[in-house]
Amino acid sequence: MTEPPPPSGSFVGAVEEPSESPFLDDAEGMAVEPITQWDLFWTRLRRHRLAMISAGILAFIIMVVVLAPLMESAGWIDDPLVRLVDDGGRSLRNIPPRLSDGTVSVLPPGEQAVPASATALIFGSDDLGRGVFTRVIYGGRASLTVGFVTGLMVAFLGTMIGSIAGYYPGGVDQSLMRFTDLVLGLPLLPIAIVVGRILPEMDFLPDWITRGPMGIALLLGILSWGGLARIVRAEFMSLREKEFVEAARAAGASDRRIVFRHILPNAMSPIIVQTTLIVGIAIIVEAALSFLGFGVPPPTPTWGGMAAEGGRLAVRGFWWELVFSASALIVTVLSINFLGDGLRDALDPTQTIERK
Amino acid sequence: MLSYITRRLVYGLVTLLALSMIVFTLLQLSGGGPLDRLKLNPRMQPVIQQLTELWGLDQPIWRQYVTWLKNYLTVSEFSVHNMLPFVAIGAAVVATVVLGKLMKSHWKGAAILGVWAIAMYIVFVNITIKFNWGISFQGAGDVWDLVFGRVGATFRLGLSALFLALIIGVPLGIYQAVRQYSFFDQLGTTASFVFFSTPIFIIGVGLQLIFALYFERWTGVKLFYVAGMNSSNYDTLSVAGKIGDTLRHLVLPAVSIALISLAGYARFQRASMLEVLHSDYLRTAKAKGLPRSKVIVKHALRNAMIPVVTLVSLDIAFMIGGAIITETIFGWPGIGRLYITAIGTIDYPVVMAIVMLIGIMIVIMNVVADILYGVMDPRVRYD
Amino acid sequence: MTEPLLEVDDLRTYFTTEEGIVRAVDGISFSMMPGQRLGVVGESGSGKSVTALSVMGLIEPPAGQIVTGRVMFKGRNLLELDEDELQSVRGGQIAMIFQDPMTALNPVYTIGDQLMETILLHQDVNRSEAREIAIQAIEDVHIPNAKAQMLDYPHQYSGGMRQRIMIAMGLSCNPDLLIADEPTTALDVTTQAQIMDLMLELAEERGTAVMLITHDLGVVAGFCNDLQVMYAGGIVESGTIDDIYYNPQHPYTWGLLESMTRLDDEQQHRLYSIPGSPPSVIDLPRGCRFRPRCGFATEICGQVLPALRPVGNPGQMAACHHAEELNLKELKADAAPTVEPAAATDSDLTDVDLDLQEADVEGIEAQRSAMDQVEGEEGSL
Repeated sequence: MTEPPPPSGSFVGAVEEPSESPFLDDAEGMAVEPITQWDLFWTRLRRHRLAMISAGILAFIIMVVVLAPLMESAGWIDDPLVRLVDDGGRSLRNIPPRLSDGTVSVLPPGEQAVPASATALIFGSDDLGRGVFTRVIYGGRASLTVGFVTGLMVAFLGTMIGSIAGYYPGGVDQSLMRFTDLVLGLPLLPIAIVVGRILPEMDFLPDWITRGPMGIALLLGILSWGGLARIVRAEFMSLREKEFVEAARAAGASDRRIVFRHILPNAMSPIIVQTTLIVGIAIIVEAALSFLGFGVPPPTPTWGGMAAEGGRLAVRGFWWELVFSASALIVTVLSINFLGDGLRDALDPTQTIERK
Repeated sequence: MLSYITRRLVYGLVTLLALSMIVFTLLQLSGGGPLDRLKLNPRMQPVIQQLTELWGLDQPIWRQYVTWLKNYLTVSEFSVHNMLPFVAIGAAVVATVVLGKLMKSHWKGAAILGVWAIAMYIVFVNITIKFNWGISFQGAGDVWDLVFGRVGATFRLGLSALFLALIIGVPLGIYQAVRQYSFFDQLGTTASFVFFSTPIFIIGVGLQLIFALYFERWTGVKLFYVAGMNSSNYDTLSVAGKIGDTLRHLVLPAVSIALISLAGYARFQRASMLEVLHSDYLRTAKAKGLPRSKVIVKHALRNAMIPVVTLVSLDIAFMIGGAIITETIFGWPGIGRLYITAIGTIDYPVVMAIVMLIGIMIVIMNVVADILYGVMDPRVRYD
Repeated sequence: MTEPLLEVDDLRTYFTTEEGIVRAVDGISFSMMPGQRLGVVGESGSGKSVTALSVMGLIEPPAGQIVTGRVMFKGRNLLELDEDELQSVRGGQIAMIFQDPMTALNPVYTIGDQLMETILLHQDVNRSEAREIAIQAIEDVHIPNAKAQMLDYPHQYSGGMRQRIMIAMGLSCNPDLLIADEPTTALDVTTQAQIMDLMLELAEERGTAVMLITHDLGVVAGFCNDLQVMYAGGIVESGTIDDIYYNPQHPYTWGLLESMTRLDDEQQHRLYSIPGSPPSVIDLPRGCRFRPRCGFATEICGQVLPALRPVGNPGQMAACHHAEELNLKELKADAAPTVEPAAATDSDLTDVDLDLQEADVEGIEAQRSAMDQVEGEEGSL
């Protein structure tokens, strides 16, 4: 896709000859500040208001969820597994959201009741008398773990397999792409359900895989890289033929240098956008598994599991567990998708002036 | 083209084989045998005996897999009621050859696809074929009958949802693209994002609560049912009553699925339409003096529909898998709910049958999508 | 004296963008006689394409708007016509050919379909008559075996062939005016010459007026009777080809001519290069728009925008305060005065803008070829 050389007599050559007019830049000692792709990207992203707000919300959610244990030891929230009781030691089950009046205590099994945190009931309590606010915060850990781990795996596997296939044509490319097609042909949810069901019984695997969200995260990572690999491969195949890569090769650059310095930075945009998309999907799939009862086993709180339980409670009129867990889930995924959209616009060089 | 399709089908078979091995192995990894629950009941001893023999349960995993695969591919029943299937296939072959010679390239593919769809339908209706998919571990009977007894329900739900999503989502996306950056466009884009980002179980549960439970509690009117496919007194109802009853059961689950795919279609259609609207050939069409409506309908839509048609065929492929959650929420007696039940008890003949059905759908619809793509875009060549 | 075919009067077309208002065409007036071949020459962004689109009524609101002006075509003001009336003019009486023939034809319809569509739209004929006219139109642009070509799709053709089809489509309804927007820029040099010859032949044969928009002075020379040079949204010089080539009155025109190689040039001299780059049309310099790049600029040039006025040979016009004093005809590139540094400050921003555009073009190209790759992939699977 190269422009034909300007024919003689055209004045393309006349206007794009900066060396002929050095005095322009030197005028009044003003050097023209170069604008890098990175500056451009930031300018465009900042202009995308929704994406910036989403990034803020997402950062807040991540911070709260990651720091949950610290907040618990600071006494801001409670243990997500213990019950709340009132002055008389009666369990506070299905209490609607209300502000703290200082009469609520937590009762760990077999222990003395201690005063609960001030936030104990602001999202109400569930059917077992556990505080929904605490559980929503802790429930995010499964979602974010899955989102983060799956995202990392997809970005790594997809980029690696896609770039190898795209950079080495022929047999390597063919076999890798057949393998990618195979993985893409596997139905995600049905397999995830099977794995979710049997994971707790897979005793030969270490505990950190079978007991928490890590198993699901790894599975989703293994199954979801196909789309990105295809995109990266296509990008590599086109970039490989570009003049600047030819030039680098002619200058004696090693394959590694060409890939990491010249091709990969130019393929960053689809990698980032596709990975964001996968993170959102992974969080939804994990929540769906927990909802179906094949995710992280209770009593560990998860947004999907709480939504399932909240749905049953809402039938009896206790709407809060459903509403708060579902909102947390939707806001998180929505923020990720909005951010992804903003990133795509910001990384897409064709979208400079079009957008109004 | 034929060699291309054959190649795709062969790759598809390899994928299916891999899928079956993966899922089979996974199912075997669960602690405790699949027969554990049956063992609790002493009267089940002969059944256990029978199942063990049928599936070779006392043998190593790979032997069990081979046994399963052999059974899966074995035809246990085959009968033809009349000559019609053979006539249909013969006619389809003749039609393919004739149309292939006669028609312009991009209508040719569509016509041939249509002819084969009709032929296949005639074949299915007039033929009884049954594979030896075995007996469910839970004593629920023959797996083939169990699965195909539920196909109708799943397709009723899936096709209704697809229909809803298409007739709303596609025009919505087109309208948004034509009125880019208008208030309506912004609203549509935001709404699409919200639905796209909402897990289907939240939409399902939400609709169930709002429209069936709370609505009924506030107004005293029972508008929709929240569970099942028909009421228990369905057989006693009049024709109008039957239709009404069916619809009142169908609306909520169908809308749940439709809302999410609708958001996807609208977004996709909008993007695809925008790309076409900014193309040079559209400017040419305007410069010819074509009225705006004709520019959009004849020149823009035809091009903008190409990627959407592919998306829809892939959506059909995921119909069974996509309905798993919705069917569970709405107690819909389809394949998805059967899948969840079977997974719960590691009823592997049933689980395997359904997984393979999903896989086969994906392979077939992928090929169909490729053919449709070639049909709609004359630039695509299969070689 | 006959009536002019097209008369453009004080046309201003502005675009609203995030960065500000782009005054793409800023008050231009010109006219064309029936059968006249007018070249409109200028750099990218000088407003030449927007002029054409404004005449065609193809400026898309709300981003683009024709602020003032009149476009009189055969006695009617096109800017006042409603959409229906405009549609009968478009394609029928004024036809347009675009720059990139590779993308200007709809990929999903056959050549025949697209040709017949125009004919059926503007002529009172039935389908079989339209088919005959279309076949004739294909033959007229020297494509052999026209009947069979009717069933072909655009992707089966090369760029040159597609541009022939575009010309056939443009001329199929015998328009009075054909606007060709850089019709040969995307083609290789040999094909360029063939296409220009074909257009000249057809235009002369039918007496069609042609507005040829190009940045290539070489293309204009062999094709047009008259020439007008645009710079930053305005016309800076107009006249016959000979007047302008041999007696330029505007320093910009002179710069353009000095920057091209000429076969008829006996003395060898250095090629000139106009210093700097065109101003951003959002932030135009005060006074003469060419001032920051002009070696002859004086104080008045920084204050008053010069009007287009008769100067030089009879019928020749130029927009320069100093047109009379400068003897550009005799001036050689080596002797050109340099630009005062202080005068150049206005274009500080422009350099950056230009960088951006180049980066963008590269990005778009990368994407295009990525897409091509994917398409090619799908085709070859």
